[in-house]
Amino acid sequence: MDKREFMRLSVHEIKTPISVIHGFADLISYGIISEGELEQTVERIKKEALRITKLVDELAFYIGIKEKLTDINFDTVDIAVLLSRVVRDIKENTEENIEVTVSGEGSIKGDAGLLTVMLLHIIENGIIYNDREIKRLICNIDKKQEKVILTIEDNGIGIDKEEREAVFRCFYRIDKGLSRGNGCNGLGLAISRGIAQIHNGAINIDSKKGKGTKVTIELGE
Amino acid sequence: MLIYVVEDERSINEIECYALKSSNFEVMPFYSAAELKKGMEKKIPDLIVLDVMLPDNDGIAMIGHMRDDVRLKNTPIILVSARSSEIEKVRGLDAGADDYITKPFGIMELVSRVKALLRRVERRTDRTNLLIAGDITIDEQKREVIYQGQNIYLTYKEFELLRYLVINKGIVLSRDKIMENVWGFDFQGESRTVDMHIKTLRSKLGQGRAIIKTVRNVGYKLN
Repeated sequence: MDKREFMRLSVHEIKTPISVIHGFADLISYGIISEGELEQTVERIKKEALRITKLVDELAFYIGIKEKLTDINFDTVDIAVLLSRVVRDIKENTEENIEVTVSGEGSIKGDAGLLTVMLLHIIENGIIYNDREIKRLICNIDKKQEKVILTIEDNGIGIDKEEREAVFRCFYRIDKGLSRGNGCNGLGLAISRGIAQIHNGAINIDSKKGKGTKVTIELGE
Repeated sequence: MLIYVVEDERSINEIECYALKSSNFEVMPFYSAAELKKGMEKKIPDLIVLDVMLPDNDGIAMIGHMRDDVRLKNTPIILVSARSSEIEKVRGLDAGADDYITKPFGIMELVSRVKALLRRVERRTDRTNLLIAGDITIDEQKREVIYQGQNIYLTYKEFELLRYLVINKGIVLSRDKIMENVWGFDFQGESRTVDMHIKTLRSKLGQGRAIIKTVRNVGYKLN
């Protein structure tokens, strides 16, 4: 995606929640919203305000990574420990029924903060794009020569073959309804790939529609 | 009046529908180009409010296809877009949109633009049913004759006669030709019938009577 297209899409994405806020505020001020719907409408305005905040933060984060403006602090990072911490945080903040298993071990030289952001996005995607009652994630860490290979497999809705590369494009979403409802703005995988590249690595996806998705993250020393 | 609202962002779709419904429009929401296509196969709306960036198609490209379709070429379309640059508006309007509104917009502005566009379309439709000759205007749909802003009450045949003269403005029409076209081939009356009707028509038109000229030994002509 060239910079012009990125800017065009960014403007569209930012203006969308602003339009929602503007629209609901208008409905209230013109007295079109009934008394009974007022409280719920105000809550929706607040939700959209949070959506803009999150979007702007993630856009700034993405640009920082892409344009090498982000401060990076490399240290030894135990991927198993980091992964377990991320899983614990997610479990504490969700009402979804989640089962996560983590096996294997491996350490790399990396930025713990950035790697945490990457893992958060990948695991959240496995939960959000998942319509099962019990959302299962199987995580495995392996060492291959100098690299750590981390796989995260979910039992979610899966991704069409044609979309497997497209999902790494900014603002691309496989299911707009699911993603918007869960506060996803389509930047998570673009950010994650950027973080993997900073760590001399890569992210690839293997998936079967209706069965689930396997994300393979390769991280260098 | 039926309005189709096409917008993939559910909240914005909901707001647009809410505002239009509150102004007593019948509204149907659509969330993709494919859904709109299906809706159009069932019923053509009076107006479409169309988002430019739909997940499965570009709104501007869709307008191009709609304008090529005989059934949809005159359906009024308001494009809604986050793109506010002049060139984007020009692209949308050149593609065939009737109006362009940029996000974020005030809902009352949207409603006003919808109403204004429907009024423009109504006037356009009205105009196509108007026949005008000098100060005389004939509204074929309402079967009304207006002379200098005043309604002139005509009988059925007087109306048909004046209509025929106006359609053939500037052409000399023989009594037989008028008989044939206004009264029909099967009419057994005399050509004096035409003269009598012209007389009453002139009388009802008052000062406007001069517009109907007698062409000696032939018939009549509208100037």
